[in-house]
Amino acid sequence: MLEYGKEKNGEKDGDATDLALFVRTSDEEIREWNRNKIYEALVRETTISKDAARIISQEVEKLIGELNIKVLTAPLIRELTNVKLLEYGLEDIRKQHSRLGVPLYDVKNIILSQNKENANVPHGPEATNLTLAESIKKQYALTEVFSQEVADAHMRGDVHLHDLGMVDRPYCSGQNIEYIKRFGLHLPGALSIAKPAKHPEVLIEQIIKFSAALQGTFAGAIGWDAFNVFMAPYLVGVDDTRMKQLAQILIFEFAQQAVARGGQSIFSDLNLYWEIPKHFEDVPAIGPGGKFTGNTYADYLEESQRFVKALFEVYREGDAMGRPFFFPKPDTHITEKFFNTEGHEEFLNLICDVAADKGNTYFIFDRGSTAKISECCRLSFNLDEKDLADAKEPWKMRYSAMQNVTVNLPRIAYRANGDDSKLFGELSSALELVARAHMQKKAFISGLLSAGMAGPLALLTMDLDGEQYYRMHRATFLVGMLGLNEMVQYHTGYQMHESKEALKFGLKVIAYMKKEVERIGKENNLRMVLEQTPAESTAYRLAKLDLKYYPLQASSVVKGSKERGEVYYTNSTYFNVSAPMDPISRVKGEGLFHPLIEAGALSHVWLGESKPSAESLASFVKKSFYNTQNAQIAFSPEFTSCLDCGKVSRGLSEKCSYCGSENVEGITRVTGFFSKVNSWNKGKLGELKDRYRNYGHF
Amino acid sequence: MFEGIKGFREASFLDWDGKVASVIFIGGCNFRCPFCQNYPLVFNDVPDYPFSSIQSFFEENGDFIDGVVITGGEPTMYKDIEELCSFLKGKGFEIKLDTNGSTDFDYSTVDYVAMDVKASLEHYERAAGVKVNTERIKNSIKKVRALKEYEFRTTVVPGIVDERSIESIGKEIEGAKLWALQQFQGEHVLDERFKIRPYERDKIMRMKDIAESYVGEVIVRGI
Repeated sequence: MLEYGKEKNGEKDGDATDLALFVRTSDEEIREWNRNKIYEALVRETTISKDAARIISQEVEKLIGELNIKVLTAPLIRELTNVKLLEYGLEDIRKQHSRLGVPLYDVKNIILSQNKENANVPHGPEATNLTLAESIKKQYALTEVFSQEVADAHMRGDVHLHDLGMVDRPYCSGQNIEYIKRFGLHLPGALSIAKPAKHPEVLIEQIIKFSAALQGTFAGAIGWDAFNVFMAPYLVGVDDTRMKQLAQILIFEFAQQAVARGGQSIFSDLNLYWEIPKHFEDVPAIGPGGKFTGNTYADYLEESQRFVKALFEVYREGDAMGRPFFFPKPDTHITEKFFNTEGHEEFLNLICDVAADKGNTYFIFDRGSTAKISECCRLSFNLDEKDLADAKEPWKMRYSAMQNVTVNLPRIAYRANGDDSKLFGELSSALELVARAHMQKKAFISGLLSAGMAGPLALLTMDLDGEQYYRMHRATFLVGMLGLNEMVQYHTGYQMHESKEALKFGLKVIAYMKKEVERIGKENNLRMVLEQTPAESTAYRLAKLDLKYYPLQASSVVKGSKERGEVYYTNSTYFNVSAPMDPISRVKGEGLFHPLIEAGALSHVWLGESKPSAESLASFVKKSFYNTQNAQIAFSPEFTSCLDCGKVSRGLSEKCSYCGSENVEGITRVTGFFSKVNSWNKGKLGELKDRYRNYGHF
Repeated sequence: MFEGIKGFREASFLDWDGKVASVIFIGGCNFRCPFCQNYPLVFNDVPDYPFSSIQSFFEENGDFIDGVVITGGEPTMYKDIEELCSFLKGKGFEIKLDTNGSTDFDYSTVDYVAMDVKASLEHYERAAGVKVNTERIKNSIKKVRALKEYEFRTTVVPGIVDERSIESIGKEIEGAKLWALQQFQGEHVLDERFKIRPYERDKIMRMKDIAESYVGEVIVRGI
């Protein structure tokens, strides 16, 4: 960042200054006072006229002379200059001349206390680096990347722009390991280049490294399509022991990447199949050395199945303490073909056993001819015809969501005050604003990409297959929703689980959003789609803001405990998490929304401490596939892990059930992923207390 | 229709292995097991659960339900038990019955019976909390073993069941198909004196080893 004290070839205003002062500059130097530096900075950074800049710099010098300051720093001079600019009515110039930074108090807090915005970030120097950098980039985003209108709407809480601290990256990414198998590891700026792997161990290493590189250029999840299928050609002749070991290497390597960026695990997703998906059956397979094997993927069913079984055996064992792995998430696709593939009963029992015991399994339902790739909490892409054409050359299958913007639905209900047409009108304006936010982000990222190999997103501009890695024309722009339940509750007087009419109104809102998002997307030439926002911190932030700006309205519907400050809105289109609903009604009812939410939806079944039978879950999963419209379900048990005796017990408790120690960690799903409860924000803690855990009830 | 139903769990993954099951709770019991967790049902001081709600649940979500578990209390003492069973059969559900085996119910009318064998027969009163005619228990064991699908169940309560009781129960049910050892929960129990710590996992696994020498298969629930 440019700052006072840096030597610049700016125009000088000629006057020498005789103020006997020293300035601590951001270059870690102490320099003699020089009024010119103010003048130069103003001219360099803003659109101010030279005359005005000269006057301002003289005025600032006068002010400093009068103030008898003992320790003069460059940031202080900048703030004093800003005050002068405001005194002269030069507000626009002041904005251009802003200094982005973090108050001392906050820096101290960030370094000394834990990050609660994202439960996937532990505390440590790397993590606090991330927090500090994000806080400055967030300010930058709100000042420079987005218009004042959009930035204000975010800050007021009308909408929430996700991952502002990572404004200089797209949101998330789903791809195929064929890219690595074919081209090896050829990362821009890397000191060495690796040829395509010859052995599965090496391939796994390359995948992990590439994932880490992608994590450095995307804000969120990194998903891999049909992972076990594409590994299969490397697994011919691999015996059971080595197969299991490969599965362990893969899972442990992903799970333990918390030593990487920001001390954060790679938010990784493995899409897994029991069958060879139809769209990959006839695709020529790539094997060791990046060479085509002469077979198609249909020929590797056996290896593909053995590997996916090995993966789930590792998930079932858990880590060294028997705890569930948090990452990589196993997104298992359940399709028509799944049920027509031999051995599916046994495999379904295995993955249901993992679901019952550890909770890892995500059941993704691809009904009819749908094909999907999942890449984060719940985001998935339906593959359309163009994508299925790409599937013939799977390395081309690279998808990304550019950004996610969430609409604060309850606030729209407060503003509409019971008036239907006002409610839908407000909703449309909010979606128009979301589209503007997306256009601004798209323009910003396009600018970064256009710098090519010399730019900050070099990795995404590499071109190994005749096309830039980041395929802008395939990027989607996500529109999330938060607190549909509270919107409906305020507008109709009932929550969605309480009345059929309320549920119907909720469906009407989401159907309207879908239609509007399509219309507005088309008008702006953006692939805009609805997504269920994971809303790990958004559910808390927007509830807090509404309690501040709409105290009477919000306090009648907000969930959690106001006394403890543990407030939240219900995520996306979910039913109230505390509603004593049986899992069938929940999966069916929530599933009604899923066909409207193209970019991915998920229902949670919170298990608490109970451990259901795997076969019962399998029966439930099968019926969910055939009897509902639900797109994805996950079962979430809770665990208490003792840091003293090392044992893990089911359920969340204050004490270890084995040794009685209070030195325990609670583990369960925060939103779409597992994490440690002690890292959760207050809103999520409030939700955790409320979660209906499907125990018996009289 | 069907008064005296005291509770209903719409969908359970726990009460009938392999099935998505609804559970119907019947009030009233002739036993007073001190470690009972469903004791409000035993004393029958719970309001009725409206049968109409159960019916409407079956109408909306019956497509998910493989079977219905009738439990209690002691469901074989319920006055309308036969009618309830034929009603559920008529809906196409399989039926599992939980029983303490102290009555002369005709088990062949249901698809699965889970019968408690709570302790060694010479100490049955300690487990049941009342005087028990153990000949009836023996007789029920015989009847249940003749069924196609069944299990015997023993909750391993410290002070009531130890390794020696497992041997003794094992002899009574020798050759049976399935025996479930269930972990005891000491938090909500009928008799305050049984608010005690359950056995450690290792101890239960030792009991399982003993049990396995008597029956075809032993499963452990709740740990």
